Amino acid sequence: MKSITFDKCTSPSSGVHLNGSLKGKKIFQIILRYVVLAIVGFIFIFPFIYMFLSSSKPQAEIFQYAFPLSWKTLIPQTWTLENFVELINLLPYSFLHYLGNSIFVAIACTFGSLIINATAAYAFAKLNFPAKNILFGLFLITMMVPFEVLAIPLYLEMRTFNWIDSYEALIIPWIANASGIFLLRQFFTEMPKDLLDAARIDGCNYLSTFWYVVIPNSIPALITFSLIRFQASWDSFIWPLIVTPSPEKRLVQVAIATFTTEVDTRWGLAFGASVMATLPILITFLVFQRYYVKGVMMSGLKG
Amino acid sequence: MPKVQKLQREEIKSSFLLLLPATIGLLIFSFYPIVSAARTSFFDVSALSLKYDPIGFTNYIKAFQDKIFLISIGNTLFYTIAVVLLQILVALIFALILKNAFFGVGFFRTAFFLPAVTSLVVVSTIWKIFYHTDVGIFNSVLQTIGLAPVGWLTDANVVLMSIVIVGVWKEVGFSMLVLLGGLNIIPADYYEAAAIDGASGWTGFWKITLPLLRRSLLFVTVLATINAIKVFIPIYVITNGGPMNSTQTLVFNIYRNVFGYYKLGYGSALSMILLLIVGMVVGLQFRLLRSDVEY
Repeated sequence: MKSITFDKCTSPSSGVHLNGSLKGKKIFQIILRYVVLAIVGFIFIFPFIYMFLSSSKPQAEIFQYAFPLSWKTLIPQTWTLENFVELINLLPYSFLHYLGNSIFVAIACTFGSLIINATAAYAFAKLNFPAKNILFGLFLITMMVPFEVLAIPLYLEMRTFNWIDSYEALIIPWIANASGIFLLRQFFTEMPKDLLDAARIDGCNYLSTFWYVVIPNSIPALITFSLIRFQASWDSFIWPLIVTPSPEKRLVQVAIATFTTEVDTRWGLAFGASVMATLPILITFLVFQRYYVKGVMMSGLKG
Repeated sequence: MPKVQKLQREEIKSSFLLLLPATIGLLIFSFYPIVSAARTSFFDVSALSLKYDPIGFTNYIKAFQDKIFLISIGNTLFYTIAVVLLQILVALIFALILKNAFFGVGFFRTAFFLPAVTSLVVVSTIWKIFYHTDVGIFNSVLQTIGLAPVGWLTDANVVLMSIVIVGVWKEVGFSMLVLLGGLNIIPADYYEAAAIDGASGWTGFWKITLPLLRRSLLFVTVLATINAIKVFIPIYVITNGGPMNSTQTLVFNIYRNVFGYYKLGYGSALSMILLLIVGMVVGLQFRLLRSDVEY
């Protein structure tokens, strides 16, 4: 497992404490720290271990050894892939179909919002035009309004457009995104003016400056942005639940929820599906952790 | 002069092109729905024919006579206060422990952040089974050490707290990371200067760390508050609002009225109340954020 690292992760206080306190006290503190961290760390990782192990148990075994507590409660007696096989052969649609839907929708949302929000953010960051601040203020207002407030009129809008049970409804409303514009504008504002001026002198117009200078120089920011948008789309639940009543366009999160909210809960399938829906995002996070962490930490400093 | 004008015109034209797609998107999918929601809240709307009947403030008056709505407000308030207090406190403790570099620190930072990158549906699914009265891991542990089992999801007095724990577990890593970001930019000299002046651990925490962390703290608190007010997925997946409405929350109640009972007008009035509440939190944030600490 790769780990979160920081550019400057040295302790501001190390060395200062030692002057005043005894060495024995310091060692005790270190041991205490590891004990506390180990317990808390276990609480945070255990549910994931439980999920992975339970998904590898036969349906009948999942709760067979729930009590009394023993290692059998956690470790499968018979390792099996039957939950995954059943998920793949699921009717009316294979679980892979829902995964595919989610992958397609998340990629479309990410690419669309990358293009549309980056161009808008560039205009707000580097260009001058009338009513710029008013327009930016209006954009920011939409950032404050929770989606839950918009859900009803948006749903009615989708009915008018005849977009119920369609990819359009799952993708198009989520492309333009004020908080995305806000985030990217922060990055673009920091880009040195000289760099853009040089491109202008070389004969680039504003649009080609954007394409040839701004984009290549803000790859880390664009990766951060894409990760945030991809995850938001992947995790979306209420909206797909509302606008895709039939299973054909169903997304993974809704599909998982149907396993647990139906009268006869299929826990084996629920765990297997959870693993299949979580693994891609977990791997992506671990690979791109640096960008992700930077995005989160920046959000707080600029709030 | 004409040259300058031509340049300006080009800039305005480019801005227009660059902003057009985003503006159209926000107009159709954000501004129009906001106005529409406000309007719909003053109508009685039949879900099938979409016939709008103007009824003034009736939907709002009805809301405050609706027992389940009032219960949902109370539950949302309890949930929000409990989640935010616990989440920020735990996140602050984690951040303070993990800001120092020591062996394994990266592993723990990652571990605490894992729930934050897992979907709330998956998280709720796992905790739902943990809480199961007969086969859940919590009652197994309790019974193994000789204690009585708890009705995590069946006891109306306990169940909202069970949901609080899920919310905290899911979000604490995110808050921690933002606070770590805040801690990292506090200059080390401040602590050194304080140490020379004789101020040690606790005094340093109260006099340096906390005041300088104000911005990050406020940011995560507001974010956590808004998130908590909108709690929906754990309720939908784990409890479905029960038992006996003990986990009815604001957004779950809106969802049920609109997509369960098809009361579009009434649901819109409830969402305007939600907007008002969130608006007050955001407004408060702006008042408090006028911090003049520069470092």
